[in-house]
Amino acid sequence: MDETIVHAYGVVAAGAPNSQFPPGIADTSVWVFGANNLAAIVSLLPVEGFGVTDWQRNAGNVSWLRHVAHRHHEVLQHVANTAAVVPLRLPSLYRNLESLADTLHAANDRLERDLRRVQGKLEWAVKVYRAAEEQSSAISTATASGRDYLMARSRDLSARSGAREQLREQVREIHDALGQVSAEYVRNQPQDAVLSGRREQMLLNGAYLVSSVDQARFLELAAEIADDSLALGFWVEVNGPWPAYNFTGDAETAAREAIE
Amino acid sequence: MLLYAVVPADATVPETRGLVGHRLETIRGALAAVIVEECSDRLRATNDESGAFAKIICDLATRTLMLPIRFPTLLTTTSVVLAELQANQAAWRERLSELDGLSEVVIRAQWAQPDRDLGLASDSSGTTYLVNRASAIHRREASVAEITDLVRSCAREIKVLHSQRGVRIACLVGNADVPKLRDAVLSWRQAGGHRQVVVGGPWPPFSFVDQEAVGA
Amino acid sequence: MSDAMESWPDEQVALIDLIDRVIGGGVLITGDVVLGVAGVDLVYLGLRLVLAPAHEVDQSVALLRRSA
Repeated sequence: MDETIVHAYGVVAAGAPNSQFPPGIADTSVWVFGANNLAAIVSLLPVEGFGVTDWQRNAGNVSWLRHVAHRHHEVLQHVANTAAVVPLRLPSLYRNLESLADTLHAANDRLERDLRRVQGKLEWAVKVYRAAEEQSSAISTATASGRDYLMARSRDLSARSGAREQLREQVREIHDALGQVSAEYVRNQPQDAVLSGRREQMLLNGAYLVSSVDQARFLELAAEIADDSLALGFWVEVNGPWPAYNFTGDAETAAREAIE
Repeated sequence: MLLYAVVPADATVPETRGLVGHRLETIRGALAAVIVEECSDRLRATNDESGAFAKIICDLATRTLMLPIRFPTLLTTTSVVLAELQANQAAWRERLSELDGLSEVVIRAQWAQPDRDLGLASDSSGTTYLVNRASAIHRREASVAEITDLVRSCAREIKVLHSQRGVRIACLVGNADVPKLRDAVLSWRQAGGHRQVVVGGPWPPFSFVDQEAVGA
Repeated sequence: MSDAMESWPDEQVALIDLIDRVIGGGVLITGDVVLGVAGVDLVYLGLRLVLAPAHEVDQSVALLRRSA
C-alpha cells in the first residue's frame, strides 16, 4: 500500500465556497480538509518522490521545483479568486492529517486574524527598474590642469549623487502613490539580476494589498505611473493579483527586512 | 450517512431513493429535521454525482420547505445528526420560516468579449493590459449595478457570486414573482451589450441559508 | 470553463450554475474531518464532520468520522 504525506497549499475559512480545483502537485486531487472554523486545501502526495528527503534532495533541481511551485501556485490562485486564503510557503508537509489538524488548532487565532486581514483584498507586485545604465559623464582628459580635473570630477560626483537622491525620491513617490490606494503596502529587498532575470537594476520591489473595490483605481494609477516613468528613465512592471504572501503569517518578518 | 436538507420538524418526506440507491430517511428534532440517506463509506464525488444530488434536492423542494445542505456532507450516526440538530435547530427553524414561499434564481451575464483574464495573474505587465483589466472591472461593476436595479423590486435578498467570466447574481424571490423577474432580465438582454444572459432556477435557496444575507 | 461557453445552450449553463451552488452553497456543518482516499490507510481523528472534496473525475472517496 502506498504511503502518503500531506501537502497543504493554504488555509481558508470553513465556509469558503468549494469548487472544481485544478490538478495538484504530481497530478493529485486537491481536497478541502476542515478543522472547525478553518479548512486547509491539501493534496495527499506519495511519500515515494515527495517525502521530506525528496524535498531536501531536490532543493537545487530547477525543473522539479518549477513543477511543484507552479502547481502550488495554480491551486492557490484558484482559491484566491473566490475566497480569502492564507497561502503556505513551500515546503508545506505534514506527516498526516492529524498533525495538520493539530497545527490548525494551535495556530487558529493567527490564521483567523490573517484571513480577516486579507478578506476581500488581493496582492499586487510592482517592480521598478532603472531603464539604462547611468552614463558616466565624459570628463575630458584634455582639461587644462590637475586642479581643473579635480574640480570637474567633484562637480560630476555631486551631480551624480544629487541625481541618485532624486531617483530614490521618485521611486519613493511611486511607492507611496500606489500605497494611497492600497489597504497595506510594503517594500521588500530589490532582487538581484539572477532572481529578477533582468539586467537592469531593480529600484523598487513593492507589494500592495488592494481591496477589491479599489482594484480598478489601483490598476489605472499603475498604468499612469508606468507611462510617466518611461520618460523619467524607469521601467515599471505590475504583476498580479496574487494570494497575499506578503501580508500573512511569516511574511511579517520577511517584510521587515525591507530597506529604506 | 449523506445529508440532503434541513426541513421543518413535521415535514412529510416522500418515499424516494437517494444518490446511492437507499431510501431517504428523516431524523427529527423538536424544531427541525434532517433528510439523510444511509451511505456506505465510499462516495464518488464527481460532477455527475453533484448533478444527480442537485436533481434530488430540487425534487424534494417541490414537496417541502427546506434549507439544502452543502454536498457532500456525511455524518456517521443518527446521534451525531441529532447533536447537530440540537445545536442549530432553533436558528434553522427561524430561517426556514423566513424562506417560506421563496426560491433562488441565479442570473448570469457574459459579454461578447470574454474577460477571462480577470481571474488570472498574467505575466503581461504592459500598460494596455492594466488599463484593459481596469475597464473589465468597471464593466463588471456596471453590470452588477444594472442587474441589481432591475431585480430590486422582486428580490428580497441579492448576493453577488464569484464569477471568472461575466457576472453572476443570486436573487431570493417570491415564487409568484419568478416569471416577472425572468421577463425583466430577458428584456434587459434584448437591450444589448451582453452576448449571453441566462436565468437559472427557480431553485432551493442554496445561497441564502444563513440569516445574514451578506456573503463572505 | 470552456472558451466557447457563450455558445452553449442556456440549459447547460444553468446546470453548471446549479452544481456550483450545490457544492459551494447550502448549510455548512463544520468540525474536524477525516479523509481517506482509495488505497490509503484511513486516519481517525475522532471528531465530527466531513467537508466536500474537490471534484475530480473517477476519484473514489472514503469519508470517515468517529461519532461524537
